[in-house]
Amino acid sequence: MSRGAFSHFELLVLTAVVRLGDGAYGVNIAGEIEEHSGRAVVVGSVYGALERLEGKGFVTSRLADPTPERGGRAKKYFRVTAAGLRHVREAQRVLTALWRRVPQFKGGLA
Amino acid sequence: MRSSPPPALAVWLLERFSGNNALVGDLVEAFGAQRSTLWFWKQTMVALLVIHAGALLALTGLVALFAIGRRIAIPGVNADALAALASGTGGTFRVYDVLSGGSLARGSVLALAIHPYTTAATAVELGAWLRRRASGRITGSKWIVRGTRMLAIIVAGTQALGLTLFLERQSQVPGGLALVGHSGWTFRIPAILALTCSTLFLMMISDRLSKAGTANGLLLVFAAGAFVGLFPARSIGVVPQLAMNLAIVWITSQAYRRDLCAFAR
Repeated sequence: MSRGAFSHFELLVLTAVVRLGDGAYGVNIAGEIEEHSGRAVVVGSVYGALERLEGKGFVTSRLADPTPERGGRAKKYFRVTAAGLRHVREAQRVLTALWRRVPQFKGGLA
Repeated sequence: MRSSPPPALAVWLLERFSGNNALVGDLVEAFGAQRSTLWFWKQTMVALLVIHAGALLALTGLVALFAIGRRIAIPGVNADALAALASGTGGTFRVYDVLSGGSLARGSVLALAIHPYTTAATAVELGAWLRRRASGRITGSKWIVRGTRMLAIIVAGTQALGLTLFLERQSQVPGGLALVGHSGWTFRIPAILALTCSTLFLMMISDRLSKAGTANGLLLVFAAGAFVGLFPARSIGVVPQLAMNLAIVWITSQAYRRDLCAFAR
């Protein structure tokens, strides 16, 4: 697998980061995926995916100030990079192009 | 917002073993926003599994390696005779046997296990510490790594020679079995090579695991050996033994072809 390739879950996480903008962090990224996929998401898995995406240069992170409701622990915010955004767009383009050629999906049928 | 705190044990486990403070904070925050205790425990356990999946997988592989490796006898040694000799001993021999994955009592090529490396690491670290205390000079990590590897090879070779000489001199084997078929350098050289190379192989695995950030490779190899050593090995037939020998030779040759040059640098 090339350095730029990512798994289905990583694509979901990256897309959620794009959607949440500057306020993306572990809990709301997991919530965003749960809301749209209808499946329970483990926050630890989200962090695993974010770590890999950060290693590939698709997201960057920054630590905010610690807060009492987090037991004095800092929140880690994630933001998509230009390379990450390019890969999300590319994934969208490829998937849309493929779906258009699947007869079962024509007319919006799933 | 709820007022009760999250399960203290789960928080402790996360803080101790996740190495990710932001994740702990996220889970505490989500728990405060009406998530259940069961949810918190599930998140904790799965997070720890995900974070340590690589180490668990590596540990499983190492356990399998020791379980197979301890069945491959040192060339020229009658493993059954050695097992008969070892059955009457205890104390230090038994402890060392357990730590080598049960390889010592079976006269296996893994008899030295990773111990030459741990011995060398301790000696080099101690030497670096003494040098710092005496002259205030700090030994570079590059030299520590190189020194540890070189010393480990010397220790492994020396221990292998000692073990082969020890095996040659055993004459009190129950049942009058011969421990070593033909004494002398025709036995010692292949035996020393097999023992030293097996330790080098374990060192290479340990280094790769540490370098990849999977876990502390030395600790993982040591733990896997000790775990396997707790279970007695059963004899298997000649054909499976031969097949395993060939498989190990092939795997080792592949691994060395790819990594020995990098390892020796």
